This record gives sequence, C-alpha cells and structure tokens, in this order.
Amino acid sequence: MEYRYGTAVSPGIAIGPALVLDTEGVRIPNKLVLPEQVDGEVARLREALDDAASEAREKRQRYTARFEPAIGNIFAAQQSAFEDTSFRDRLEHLIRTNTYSAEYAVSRGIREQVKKLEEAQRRVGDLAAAEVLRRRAGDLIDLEKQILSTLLGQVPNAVAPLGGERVVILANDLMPSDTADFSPRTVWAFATESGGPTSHTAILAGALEIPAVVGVGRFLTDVSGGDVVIVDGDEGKIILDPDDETVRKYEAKRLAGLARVDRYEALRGKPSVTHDGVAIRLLGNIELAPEAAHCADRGAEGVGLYRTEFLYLNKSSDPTEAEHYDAYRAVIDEIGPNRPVVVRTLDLGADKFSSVSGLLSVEKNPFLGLRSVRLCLRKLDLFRTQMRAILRAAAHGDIRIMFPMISTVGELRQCKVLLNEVKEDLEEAGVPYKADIRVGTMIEVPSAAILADVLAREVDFFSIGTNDLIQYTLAADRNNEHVAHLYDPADPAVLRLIRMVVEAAGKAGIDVNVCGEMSGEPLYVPLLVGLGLRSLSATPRKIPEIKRVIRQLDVAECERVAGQALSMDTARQVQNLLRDQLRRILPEAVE
Amino acid sequence: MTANVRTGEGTQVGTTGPLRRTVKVVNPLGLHHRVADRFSRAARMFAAAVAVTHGDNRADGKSVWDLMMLVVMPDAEVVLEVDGPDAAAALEALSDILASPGGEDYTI
Repeated sequence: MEYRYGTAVSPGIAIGPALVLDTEGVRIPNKLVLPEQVDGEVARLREALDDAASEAREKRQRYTARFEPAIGNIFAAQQSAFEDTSFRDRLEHLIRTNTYSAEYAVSRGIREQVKKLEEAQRRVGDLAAAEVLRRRAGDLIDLEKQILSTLLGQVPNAVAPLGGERVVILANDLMPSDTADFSPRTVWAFATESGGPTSHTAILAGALEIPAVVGVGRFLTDVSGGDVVIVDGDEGKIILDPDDETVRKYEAKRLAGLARVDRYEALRGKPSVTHDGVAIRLLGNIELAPEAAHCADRGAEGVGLYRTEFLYLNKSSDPTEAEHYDAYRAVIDEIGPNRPVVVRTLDLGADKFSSVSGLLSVEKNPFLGLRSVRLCLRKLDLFRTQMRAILRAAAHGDIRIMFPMISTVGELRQCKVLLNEVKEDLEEAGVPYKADIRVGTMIEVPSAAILADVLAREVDFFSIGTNDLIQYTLAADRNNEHVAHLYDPADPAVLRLIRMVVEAAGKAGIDVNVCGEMSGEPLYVPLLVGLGLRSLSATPRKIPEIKRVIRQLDVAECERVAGQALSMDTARQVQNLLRDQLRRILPEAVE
Repeated sequence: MTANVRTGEGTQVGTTGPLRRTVKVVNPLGLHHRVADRFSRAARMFAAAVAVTHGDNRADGKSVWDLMMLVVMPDAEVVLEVDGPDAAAALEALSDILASPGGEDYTI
C-alpha cells in the first residue's frame, strides 16, 4: 500500500480498477500478440517508423522554409531517430523476444530510456541539470507519441473504447479533449501526475462531479491497469494497492460523502439571501448542456457562464451554425426560457487543445498570443457563425452574449459592430432572432479592469473572470509549479482591480458578476460580497455550499473585512484574515 | 594495437589503428537530440567507424539513438574513437561538433 499526494480539484471518494492512459491520452489496445503475429507486428512497426520519418522530413522542409533551420532541425533530428538502425533493432528485439505488440514495444522501448533519464534527474543536484534531463525526456516522449499516433491512425479518443467497466483514470496529464468524454457512468475518478488546481481539466472534473486529484508527481510507473486504486478528492490523496482495511475505511467515507450531498439538498429551496437580508444572485458555470439541469437542481437562478469551447473540440472541422444552435437550445430546454443563460463566445486558447485545422499555430508565448476573442476577430466567419446561432437561440429564451479576453475598448467595439452586422443579415433574411440581446464582456485582463469605466459604457454587464485576471495580473502561470505560488486570488493587487471593476459597474448602473473559480470558494465569498458583488457564478456542485455561507453573512461585516483586506500588503495576510473570518461564521467550512 | 595511444586532452595518434581523443562537450544542453543528430549525420559521411565512450557506456557514433542514450551532460568528457582510412579528418570534424557551443546549428 502506498500513499501519494497531489492537489484535490474535485471532491469525493472513489475506489476502483485503474485504467492507465499513456501520455497524451494514447491508449495501447493490446500489449501482447500471438507468436504467429510477430512478423506482422514487426512489419507494422517498420511501416509506422517509415511514415513517421517521412512526416518529420516534410515538417523539416516546411518549418525550415517558414522559420529558420534551427526549428527545422528539431524535425530533422526526429527523422534521424525514426530511421535509426539501433533504435529499430531495439524495438524489433522487444517484439520478437516478448511477443509485444508494435505499440507496446514502442512504448516500452522509449519508456525504459525515459525512466533512465528520470533516474538521472533525481541524482543530479542542480536545477539546471535537472531541467536539461527533463527536456530530453520530453523529446523522447514526443517521439513515442508520434510513432503511436502513426500506428494507431489518428490519436484515438482516450475513453471511448472502454467497454463498460467503470474505472479510475490515471494519466500523466489529460487534455480537455480527453476529459470531455468522461462521464460519471464510466469513470469513478481520475488522478494525474501533472496539472494544477485551476487547469481546464480540473475545472471540468469539477463540472462533471468526478473526484479528481492532479499534480501527484510521478506514479504511473508504479501502477498497472486493473490494480485497485483509491482516489481521495477531498484531501488530494491517492492510494495505490490499498489493503482491505483501508478499502473498508474509504468505502465508509464515500458513503458519508453521499449523505452530505443529501443534506445540501435541503438548502435548494431556500433563498440566497444574507443574514441581514441582501439578495445575492447565484448562477452556475457549465460546459455542456446537461449541466444546466445541475444548475437548476442545486438552486442556481440561471447559467452565469456557458463555455462553448466543447463545440470545437474533438472535431475535424468547425462546428456548423446548426450545431451551435442545437447546443444553445438544449441549454434552454434544460433550464427553461425565463432563466438567464450567459453564452461566452469561443475562448479557445493556448491551454485548450483543438484539432480544428488552422486554429492553432506555433506561438512563442501563447497566453499573450492569438487566443480567444482575438482569434475570433481574425476568423470572422467562425465568429459570425457563432453569433448567428446565439442570436437565433436567444429568440427562445433569456440568452445573453459575452465576449471573453477583451483587452481594449476597440476590440469590444469591433465585436459589437460585427454583432450588429449579423443582426442585420438575420433581419434581411427574415430569420427570428433577439434584436435586444444583452451584451456583456469578461473582465479578465488587467487593462480591461483598469479601463472598466470606459468599457462599462459599451455593455449591459460585466463578468469578472478571476482565473485569467489573477494569472495576468501576477504574470504567473497557475500550472507552472515553479511560479504557481505567486498565483493567489487573495493578492491585494487582484482585490484592488476587482474593486475598480465593481465601482465602475455601479457608476454605470450595469450588472457585474464573478465567474472564476474564486466565487466557488467559500473562503472568498464574504470578501466578494464585501467588495460589492451581488452576483456570483460557480460550478453547480459548489452552489449549495456557497448559499450556505451567504445565508450566514452580514454585509456590513463583509464590507469591513474587504476594507481591511484592501489595505493589506500581502496575499498571505489576506488569506489569514479570510480564514479567521470564515472560521467565525462557518467553522466546519474551514478545513 | 593501443600501445601507442594515450587518451587525454587533445591527444592522438598512431598512423594505424584507431585514433582517440577526449573531448569536453561544451554545449549548454549537453549531447542532446539535435547535437546527437548533427554528430551522427557527420559521422556517417566518413568511412571510418566512430565510437563515443562516456563512462562505462559506448555508443555507435553513427546512431543518433545510441548517442542520446549515453546521457551526456554539459561539460562532461567523452572519448571519441575513430578507426578507418579517413580517421584523422573524421576526428577533427567530429571533435569540433562536440567542442562548439552551438553544435546543434547546422544545415542539411
């Protein structure tokens, strides 16, 4: 039995058989073949290596022409590896002596070297040397990925072919496109070696209400498919090879957790009002139409953030207007025509994998690059298609449109001009749509927060996206373990920006909402109320808990705490202040 | 065969038998994939057999994979061993690749 610790990103306990996904979600169908199939496997391997080599050669030429030889040389080096006699001999030897499948031989042959590099990494003292080795391991894993995807046709979807058995998914990291197909019916839980608490995948795990632990560090080499694994999404632990007593203990914990969910049910019908009578509107964040039902179940008044990226994932072409429209109508069907649904336009960026051709290119600094609304304003057809569908669906419910990652007022005006053009087209064509659709903008770039008073004149509502606002304000990637400590919602710089946005919205008389992860954390709820927010949007699972906190709050007290927090020097001081306060009002919510 | 050979900084030789030289890998990333590629491509241009030894491990200098598996860190020393008719030229050319800080910059 072995305990490993990571970051809890989605609560709950799960006990089940492991399914180990290899890097990048490539799943190896068979480890072994029959002796008579060995020659065939060797032939498949050779063919795949030849194909991978010629693909690398082609990329070398393309990239050398487009960039510089140094970039092309990466592919030249890959081509050499695929053609390398010594490498091929090693893999063929693995197939012939162990009757491995071609895929498994590739994986084993490369992984044994990766493991060697990882061991060397642990031995070296200094960070720079460890980094050198880490990059080399990355080079090898990239080779593996390419050969496997050649062998398996396109990179197959990770979970689709699971065949019914409910499993605990273990992986190095999961792409959002992998987790999109996870469902609580087929997946007990997941645990990954890398990834941070606010990564897209973690957010989605929360949305699908699958227990999850990320950032565990290396453990995949210590577990095999089918082994029983416990994932403790409450405390951020995984337990490999648990003994019977531990399994019994966790089974009891699991059942107790289910009972707690029932208790929250009791809060569903109660209004979201502070102890002193101020109403705080609660909305849900969703990714998929069926989650809109969760919002209603948990007592949310509507959908504060409908992320539409999933329409674009797992696809070989852009979604059609009909696909958009059907998805938005499905949300209205789930939640009803009178509840607000804020549809955010495409926010695909560096952290979100897409196979849509032409959307992603190599960028040196993707988080500061062509993403989100910037991308849409460059791909106007794509943007118009989505706008048309939103406007049409809005004729059947209270749909609102919101633009993400606006960093200048010019961008926002461009979006609005385009929206008006699309309305005119619909008008001319005689297609029903909502002419007076409410338009909002995300505030998630510091420049937008600073210019909130100007932006407020352009829109009907703001929604503060704290995840990106924090990351851009502190210039710290929340998924980079070396700087993740800088990423802190309680940082006074972030609080000042939120305060500015709330004030600007108040002066302009427009709504303002918070839809980042911050609004789903009980710790920050009193602070946000104290900063003047009267609308919070969180993942549906969090709604009952948040409502419970809200019903204990006293607004004057929250304002006092917020004032104190704003005058503090460091995030740590603010964190301590908030923890003390939450302990007073709702002791069981703190740890 | 090796009686007339000393290994050591910049040392050679003997007109028959293999030539050896100890070379420090000055590339800031060590003997990584692209340097290994350049090295093995260059090595394959020569008729001479090329071996690179690092500690107890020995690699075929014409195989990018073998070279990568040596796990040579920056500033480590390796022994180049070249055997064949064009050994002297090969030794010079290949030493240069390992001893230059930009060994991965090449045009094919």
